[in-house]
Amino acid sequence: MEALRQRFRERAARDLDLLRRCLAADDPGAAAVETTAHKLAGSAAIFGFPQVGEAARAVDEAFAAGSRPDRASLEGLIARLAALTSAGAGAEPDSPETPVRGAETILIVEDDELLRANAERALRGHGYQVVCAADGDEALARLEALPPFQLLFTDLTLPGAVGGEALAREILRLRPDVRVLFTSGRAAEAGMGHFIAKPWRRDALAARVREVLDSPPVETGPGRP
Amino acid sequence: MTRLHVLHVDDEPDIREVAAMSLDLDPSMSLTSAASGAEALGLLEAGCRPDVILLDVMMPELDGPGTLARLRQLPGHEQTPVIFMTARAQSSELSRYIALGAVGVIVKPFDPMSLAASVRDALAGAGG
Repeated sequence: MEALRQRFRERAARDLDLLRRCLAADDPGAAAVETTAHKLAGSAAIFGFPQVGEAARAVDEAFAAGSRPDRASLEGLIARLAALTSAGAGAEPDSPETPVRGAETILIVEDDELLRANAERALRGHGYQVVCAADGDEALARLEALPPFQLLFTDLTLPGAVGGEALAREILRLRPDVRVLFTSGRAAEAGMGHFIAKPWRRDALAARVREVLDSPPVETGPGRP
Repeated sequence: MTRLHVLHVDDEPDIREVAAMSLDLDPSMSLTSAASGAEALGLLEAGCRPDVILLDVMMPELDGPGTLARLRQLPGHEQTPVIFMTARAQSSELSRYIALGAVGVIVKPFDPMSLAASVRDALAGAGG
């Protein structure tokens, strides 16, 4: 990934040059600006430069709305790219934002092995302790043996007899102080309790977990007020 | 888990490389990459039979929607599932892509760790 980050920096230098020329020509609505901003908006965060991505998105959104970006938006993107490309090899002016951290224990219940491993890695990387179960049945069967946990992060759709909602209800009955965060790939379920839609980004998951842990213990279960 | 052959079409080489690394995390997925809509159509005409096509929307010359329209004319690809990839997540844009015949949209920047799951989710949502 480091090689890709370096290639992104080199590309950023070329994009910077092009955008500066468009600004100098007083042409922030040029097709080349749209293409460049659109591509940066979709890629910068993947390579670890989310602030460039956000600045590019501000420019791209103007084009998406059928208008042209204002000079301030374009200058903002140019400033981000300039900071990135002028940095020394060891500098990280645009490194990912300071992660939201915690030390609590999280129970992850997710039947997709890759997603479970991804969530575990994301949360451990932010300081949390993590225990995992592949479905609701396993989580309930192991509940007594698990260390005390402060948050249940569960998929709503789980194989077996115990779905995500039923699991949350049972855990809240036994441990009412536990916070619950649901996830699902189905947007229709997004209205339920604390929720993060799949696919989630790791930094977004960590931020959401911190937010839910800091919330009151009520309003955690689906259907609760 | 069902094996899936994915054809990924994107003009940005670094995005193709990240997608390849991402899908490689899922041993049940195999990948063919193309750098343009024209290259993708050439592969399909030559007999490439992907289970799903990941198609970048904004590409030079032949863009994603244009590629989709052309591939629907190819015998055997009238129903091949297509998932658009785009940095534009406005609901009007997403609706437009679905209306064009895509089974789903993956918004860029995507999370490399969960790209494979996003592909499967989009296919599952389409009944595949």
